[in-house]
Amino acid sequence: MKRTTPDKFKRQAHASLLAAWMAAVVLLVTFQPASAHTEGKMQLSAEPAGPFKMTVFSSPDPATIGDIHIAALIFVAEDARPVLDADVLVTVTPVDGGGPSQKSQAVQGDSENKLLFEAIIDVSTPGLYLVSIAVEDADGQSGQASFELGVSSDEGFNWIYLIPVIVVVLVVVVLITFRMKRRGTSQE
Amino acid sequence: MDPLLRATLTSWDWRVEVISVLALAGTIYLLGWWRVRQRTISKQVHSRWHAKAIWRPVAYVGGLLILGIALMSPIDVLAAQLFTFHMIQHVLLVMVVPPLLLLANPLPFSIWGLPKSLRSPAGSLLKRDSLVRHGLQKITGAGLVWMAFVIVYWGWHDPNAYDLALRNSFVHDLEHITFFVVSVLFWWHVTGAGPKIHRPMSQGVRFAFLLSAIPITMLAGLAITFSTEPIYKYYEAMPRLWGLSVMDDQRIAGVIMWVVGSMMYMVAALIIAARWLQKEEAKPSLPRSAWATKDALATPGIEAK
Repeated sequence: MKRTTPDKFKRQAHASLLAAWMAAVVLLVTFQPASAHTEGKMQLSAEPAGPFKMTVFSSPDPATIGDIHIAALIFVAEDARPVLDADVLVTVTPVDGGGPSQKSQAVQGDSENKLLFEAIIDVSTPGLYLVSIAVEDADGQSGQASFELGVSSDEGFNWIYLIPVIVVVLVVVVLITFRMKRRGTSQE
Repeated sequence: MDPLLRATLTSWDWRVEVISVLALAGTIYLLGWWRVRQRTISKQVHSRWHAKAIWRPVAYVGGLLILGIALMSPIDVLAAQLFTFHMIQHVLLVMVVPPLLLLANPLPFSIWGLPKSLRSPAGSLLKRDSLVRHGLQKITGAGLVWMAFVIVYWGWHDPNAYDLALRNSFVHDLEHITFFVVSVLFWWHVTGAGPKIHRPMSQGVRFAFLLSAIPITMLAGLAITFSTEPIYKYYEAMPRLWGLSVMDDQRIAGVIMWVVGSMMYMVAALIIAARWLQKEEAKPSLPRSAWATKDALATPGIEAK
């Protein structure tokens, strides 16, 4: 029996829906929104800060204007025990002195990883910034560490994202080669 | 509750792309299983799919749930802090989820779960002489799959690759996807799930194939367990949870890979061996006349002339 037009339309609609969903999943996996999952660039690695040590991440990587996530793991220098009850303040200051500083309280609830203190700071001007993280625990002990962060206006390209494209191209090339080979064999 | 334990248990990463994939895969399978079951009851579909068996959907949904736990629970979130958590995650992805999903024979049931308009095109992708079938046949032979498993498993445990995966979530996802894909291909040969495009393995070959996976995890596990210095420098920048030092954490992770990892294949191999022996026992015994002759008893193995 010949396939009717509504059948064809239905099949195309279903296939399009499935393809759109698959594309959305691939895009979400490839370009996950910045989140504090100990991800982004590790800016400080167990950096001493008074009686504490800090491991700090910034995302997105590379940093661009807009929301920048600063996430810090803070632990006691002596035994590397994580610090969970502390006031953590993130300050972002332009290095060339061309603008005001921005301060934001880093909190645990904002990140999926509840061991992390996370702050989100909106940086609107490209340039070099000094990011300082100051911590004070419940006993009044405090420490501070900082790093410089270059913020650009346009999104730089992370070459790692080319991997899925390369894989897809390779699969297509293999399939085409295989098809051509088979056609050649059947013609013989 | 201990604040550290509370912080750990509440660290969930609800990822929309993971939830949507699991929900869609589960819905399509269950719908297909239900449809096939109804048809089996009314004898429209051959009963060799065992659609009446409830353990199939239970295994599939269980596999999807464990996959969700591995990818979104504190196991995933804390994998960046403790090597042990990361190893538990890998064991789930490589040795627990794939056999559970494949025991449910997901492909035929999932095709039945698709809308009617897509069922035939989806099925035709794997019909005889189709390009996809031939391509899959070429690249998923048991030997190639075993080799791919070795390369992927050992490759990702290289310190540079492993550290990169911990620092970049995309690479981390890529690591998990490749682990999962090669494991699914490995267990596909073991379980004999559809599509049946390769010659089915005999019980003996299946047994040997399972045993051949043990050195892969065991050697890597031994190397990690008995290393005298931290292999993955990333963990040195992390706070130490529950007083676990970097080296203790590494040793526990190594033992998990070595013992638990090997055990999974060993258990599966023993199940195959038991079924193999059962089949042997079920064979009819030789008639008495074939062996109880005077000559045969006097000189066993030598026929009387």
